[in-house]
Amino acid sequence: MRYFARRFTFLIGTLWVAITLNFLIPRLMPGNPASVMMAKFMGRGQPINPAALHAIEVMLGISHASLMSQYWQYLGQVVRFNFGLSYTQFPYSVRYVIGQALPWTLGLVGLSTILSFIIGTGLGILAAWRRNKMTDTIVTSLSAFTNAFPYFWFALVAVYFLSFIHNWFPLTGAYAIGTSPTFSIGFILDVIHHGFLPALTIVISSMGGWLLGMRNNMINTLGEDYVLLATAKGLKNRWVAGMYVARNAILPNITGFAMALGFVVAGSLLTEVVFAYPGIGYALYNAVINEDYPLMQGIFLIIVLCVIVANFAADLLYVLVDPRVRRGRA
Amino acid sequence: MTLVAVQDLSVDYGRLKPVRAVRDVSLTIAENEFVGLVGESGCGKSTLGFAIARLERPPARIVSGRVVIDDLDWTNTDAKTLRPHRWQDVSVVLQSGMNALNPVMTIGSQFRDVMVQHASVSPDEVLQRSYEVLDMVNVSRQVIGRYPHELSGGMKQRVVIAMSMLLRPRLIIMDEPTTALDMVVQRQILENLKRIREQQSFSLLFISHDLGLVLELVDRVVVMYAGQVVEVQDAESLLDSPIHPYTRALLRSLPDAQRDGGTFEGIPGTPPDLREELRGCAFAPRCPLVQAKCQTTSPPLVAVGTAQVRCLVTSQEVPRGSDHTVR
Repeated sequence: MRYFARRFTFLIGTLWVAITLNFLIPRLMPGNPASVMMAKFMGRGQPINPAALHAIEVMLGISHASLMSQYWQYLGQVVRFNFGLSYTQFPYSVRYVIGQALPWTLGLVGLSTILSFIIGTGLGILAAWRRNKMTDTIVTSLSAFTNAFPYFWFALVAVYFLSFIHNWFPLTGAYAIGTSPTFSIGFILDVIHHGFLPALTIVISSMGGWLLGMRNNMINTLGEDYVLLATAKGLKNRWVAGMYVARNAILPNITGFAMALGFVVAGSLLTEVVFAYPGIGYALYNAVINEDYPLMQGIFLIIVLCVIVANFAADLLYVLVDPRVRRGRA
Repeated sequence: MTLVAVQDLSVDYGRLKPVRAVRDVSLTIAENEFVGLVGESGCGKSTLGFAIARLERPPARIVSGRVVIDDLDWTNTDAKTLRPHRWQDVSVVLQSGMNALNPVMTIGSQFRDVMVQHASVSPDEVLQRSYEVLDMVNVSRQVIGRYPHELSGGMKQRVVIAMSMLLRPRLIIMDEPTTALDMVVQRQILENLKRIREQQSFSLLFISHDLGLVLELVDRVVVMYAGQVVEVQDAESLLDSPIHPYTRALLRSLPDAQRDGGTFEGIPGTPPDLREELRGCAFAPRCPLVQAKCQTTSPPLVAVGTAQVRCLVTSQEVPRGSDHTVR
């Protein structure tokens, strides 16, 4: 319990630092979005009309109050998840835009990250258990190969052959154009059809990392005395592989997995851009292209939030799987 | 009754230019007999112990010879058939008790898994037997619910010894079970083992570099040098009349407060390179009694009274004074 409280305090502290930095960094930059916008409208060299500038500042909610009072206001807004209005998708709020994009990213990238972790770790266990046998050689060298692909290249090749040439999968989007999200079998199948290729590319390109990591951990653990003793005890092979080897070897991978889950929101940019998938990555990409500062800031905050929360979850999970972390109990 | 018979066992490390760590070793262990296996580090004693339990790990491999335990040839049996015999017939205690326990399982569940996978036992019986073995080694019954990292080094090693008793094995192989522990804990464990012997019958192969410690516990001592057995003798007579020059040197290297005020000597030189074929006696370069024939003739293991010795010189000596063979 004390461990939990300490971790939780740490979580709150990190969150505060992240939120504060997210507030400070844009404000430390010279200029403000309104003048950028004006400059864009007016073209170069022309004088900026102060009245128009003021109007835009009011519209975008840019304040000239002291940094401190802005900060308090900002904190209040963040707590209510109010990040202001998006410039590019005006008059929608940033919250709305993120709310629209987040489920797609969580669904696509979240599921494929979980899948790639499960498959990769499972194959890693298998490869290590049958080390230097046929299965190991094939699986390990293949995953070293797929792991070396640049992700965007692999995704582009997949799109080109499977969607463009053969038309087996749709080129873009999360669902067919003209339909709107409903909870019907047809729509769900459509979503799966659209999501399959992006998910496949993510799974294939990230699985190798899990596999190689798990295999290495397993092989290290296989050298431990308690594994030798487990063999001497005449325990069943599966039990030794599971409870004595994999159970210990998976510990570092669990941290990695929680971190990966945290980066689900952030790491999907390339996938979503290549497949024009309407998720957070795609929204961030558009926000950057269009200098949509509130949206960017909102998305950054969400990304940071996810990473921190995932870290926290990893700490809690670790307590469950590794008794040595359970301090303050005995 | 012979329980374990090792015949001409050889173990190599590696295939290209292999290191022959164990060379044609033959030894027997009778039922209820405590045998000590001693020698300096690198002499192949641990390799031999692991090979007897068929726990040799690559690159180690048995190249020839047999290990027969309770009429079952362990060298010629596949892993699947061997599995039910493990721990039931032969259990082991490793040098580093600290690492011999799975860090993510409680002591209780590490006792439980081996019991339920070898026989159909009720949870009550598992607990009962777990308490029994913990009592034998003087460890509190509470450790059942503890994780290994919550125990001290000495406690862990005693827990591991308790674990080796669980299925009442015929033979326990202990590989330097007290080496990582301080003198006080070493002493306690030794006393423990002597007491357990009164409660339960089993054979013991006690592997150690510490001849003094071994002599206190065992009935018979096997001395190894450079992968070979150089002397086998009863513990009591060995102390009075060691035969092989190496055994004599080992005894002289023990501090003995009773005899001459605590002086002891080392053995100059180093053991031979085990990658090379041995020419003559392996101990010849370090031997104080070396003769010309030792350089060329490989000495066989010959009987001298009830002992066996691999030495061309001392095996010819006339037994001195109160002969050990008389006893």
